[in-house]
Amino acid sequence: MPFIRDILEYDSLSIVGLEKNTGKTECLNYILRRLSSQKCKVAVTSIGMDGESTDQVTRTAKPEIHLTEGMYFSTAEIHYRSRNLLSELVDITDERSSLGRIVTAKVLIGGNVLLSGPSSGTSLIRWMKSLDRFGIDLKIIDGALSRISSASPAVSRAMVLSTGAAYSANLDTLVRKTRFMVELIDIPLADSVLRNRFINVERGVWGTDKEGRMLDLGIASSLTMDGIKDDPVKRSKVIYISGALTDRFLQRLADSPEIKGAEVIVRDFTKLFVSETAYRMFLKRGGQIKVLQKSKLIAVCVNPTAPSGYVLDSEVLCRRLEQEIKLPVYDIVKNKYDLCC
Amino acid sequence: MLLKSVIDSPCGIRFMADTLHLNSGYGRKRLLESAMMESAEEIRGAYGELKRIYLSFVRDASNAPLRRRLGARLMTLRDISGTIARLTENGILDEVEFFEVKCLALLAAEIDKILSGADCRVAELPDLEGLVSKLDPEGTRIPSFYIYDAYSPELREIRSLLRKLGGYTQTEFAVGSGCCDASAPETGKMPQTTAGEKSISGGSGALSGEKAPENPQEKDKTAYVQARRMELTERAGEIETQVRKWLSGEIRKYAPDLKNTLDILAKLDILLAKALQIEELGLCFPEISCNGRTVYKGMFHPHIKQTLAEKGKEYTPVDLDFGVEAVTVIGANMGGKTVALKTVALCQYLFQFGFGLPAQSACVDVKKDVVLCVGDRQDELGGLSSFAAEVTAIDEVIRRVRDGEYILALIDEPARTTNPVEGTALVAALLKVLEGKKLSLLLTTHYNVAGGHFRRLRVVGLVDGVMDYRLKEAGEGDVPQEAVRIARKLGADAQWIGEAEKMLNETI
Repeated sequence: MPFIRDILEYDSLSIVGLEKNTGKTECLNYILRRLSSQKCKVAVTSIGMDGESTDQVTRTAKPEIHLTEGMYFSTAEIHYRSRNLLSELVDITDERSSLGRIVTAKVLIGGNVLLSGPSSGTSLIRWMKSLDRFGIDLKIIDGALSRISSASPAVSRAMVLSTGAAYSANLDTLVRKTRFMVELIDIPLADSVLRNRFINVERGVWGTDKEGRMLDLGIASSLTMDGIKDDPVKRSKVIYISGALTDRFLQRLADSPEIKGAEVIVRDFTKLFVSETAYRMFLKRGGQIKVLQKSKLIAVCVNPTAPSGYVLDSEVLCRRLEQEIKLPVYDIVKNKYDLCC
Repeated sequence: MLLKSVIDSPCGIRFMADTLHLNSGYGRKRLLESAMMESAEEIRGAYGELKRIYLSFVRDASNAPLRRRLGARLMTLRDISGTIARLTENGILDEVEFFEVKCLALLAAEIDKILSGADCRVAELPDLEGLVSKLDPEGTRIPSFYIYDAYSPELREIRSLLRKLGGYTQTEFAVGSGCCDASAPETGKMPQTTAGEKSISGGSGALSGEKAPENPQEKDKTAYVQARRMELTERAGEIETQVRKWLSGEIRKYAPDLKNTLDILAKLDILLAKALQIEELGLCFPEISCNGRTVYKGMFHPHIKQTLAEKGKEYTPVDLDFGVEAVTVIGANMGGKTVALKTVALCQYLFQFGFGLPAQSACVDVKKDVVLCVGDRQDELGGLSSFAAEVTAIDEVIRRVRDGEYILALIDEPARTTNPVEGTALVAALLKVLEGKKLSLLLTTHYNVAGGHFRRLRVVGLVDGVMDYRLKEAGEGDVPQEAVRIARKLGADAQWIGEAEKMLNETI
């Protein structure tokens, strides 16, 4: 029963695919099925839409999301009406997706459902809070393409990553790109003093002065630093960026003659919009990147088959990835972990 | 006139609406859609209800837990007017709609209990117990809904079979994996449904009434289970549709009561918020004038008062009374004339929308409408200059008064943007045109308007260098000459002010 016990140690989990068709729904179905035999109350939703039987882009067959008795799920009204299971409606929230209000229900007889839940990180946090009264032990978010915000530790405490041939059909490239993402997820936490200092700062770019007090570096965000003439690193060895960290900003900092030992802090890995080249260059020149909040990456799942039909060797892929990322890697479909206990 | 149509009036009524602690979005919607009351009787009734809520839930400290419960329950109030309309129009409700209806009925019952506990009934909530029993056949009184097994024995049977088959659908891995009882039933024996209804045992094909294959191979067994599941699912869907149709018919008669309940609960939310606002902002319950006079003691503008308080400054309340007459208000710059006009407009709106009034005490006359001409009304998009916009607005006041509308008109410094000679003539002429007409007019001006039969009030003005905002009766020609002194107090350029004083002395 791979990684299910690890999941049960957390109250929230997001499943994030690095690309469409990387086996995210297979992975979710695997987790849901295994959890159905555990004594824990589970609620599941999706950021964006998921669970459709045919991929809307590639027209390839997709596994539908299967829920079993006792599970809770939240989806848009329109998809609730077309569900293929028996469920008891327990809540209608004021949250709205493009497909209508989000409703929450408890499964009475298992079956399939299309999930289309809250569409932003903040609405996901509200969704989680709304489940408190049902005594849910584990909330699972099925992350959609390009919506990595669901994996933010502000939303979910643990995550499972899915990758595969759809992300890159070249084994070396796939391994390298996945390893880089895992490295970003695993960026270490900043010192607790700095974490407490910056955790409530939601705007701007900040440093610390010699006395350790917060210092406004006068930069609105890493996107608007063109007009800044002073070297921020000269003013502060610790730089906190409340929003996104971009390649240009990172390169600008890496160019500083005083970059060695400097520490750039972001809220969490979902705020990193940096290429591997810029990231490595920054580290090579002596800079460090830290985060205020960190998710626990529990496992990586792979789908060796690309929508184009190209298939990578599953065993080789799993082995190579495990060697590189030092984490368990699973091909859920091939190994049919779902066999009975 | 609806509140939402005057919400952006410069008098500041938006602040009052925004500071109401409404519990539900529907309450806010209904507040904005509330109509301005135009009869004394209606206003008296509204304040009677507000006072009952205020005394029970705000003044009576022992009811604080009940008030918190009431607020928490009102938070779950949803706008289901669309569902009620569909029910009224013979629509067949779906599960989401039944859920909404059931939640509203259960909420009404809970709130009725809270109101009884506080011995406070603003309106009689309809008895929806009959409806609850239909939508809650298991009697759990939990706000949840599905098409319960209790509605149909056949449905119960089908669902029991579906459970044995592992659900409506199953993942590829689990089918035939032994995780669940995926074996086919011995035979297709099914309970008979009531006469005239299609039974699942009467379905077509080998799967319905015939035996499952003997000693089926795994593949055949899986195919059998899948086909069987599909057939049962389809039949369950058919029965659920029948139940929804029947249930919609059963609860249709409650549609007017549901609408009434929704209205009452929204009203309750609004009343509770208004009652709390009275306490929070120090508002008063007004009396209704029966002689055409409006009297305010200690009137204040809540938003300005709050802004001043945040800056550590104090607001000076003013007393004011006026009847069916024209009143001019003169006084120094920065003497609070405009604020006084805005506050009178605000109070009139609040009175006719049933809010607490920002004053120590108030006795207010009911008006047909309030017209407030204040500030720079320049409408560049509409192609009007500030003067043109002002003339248009005042022209409308004259027209409406001539049409017999009993309005409260509040005009701030008319014709101030033109030359003083023509400006004075325009103001004097306006007062003359409106003389003897049935309206209450408050007009501020710096012009010395001679003659005329109208009342004059004056801001007390600078006393020992401190502004006294109170209003007092004034005589003809009592126009304050304080502009230069105030400019000096503001720290304006000494040479400029000195020259102005010199010129004034030469004129005198």
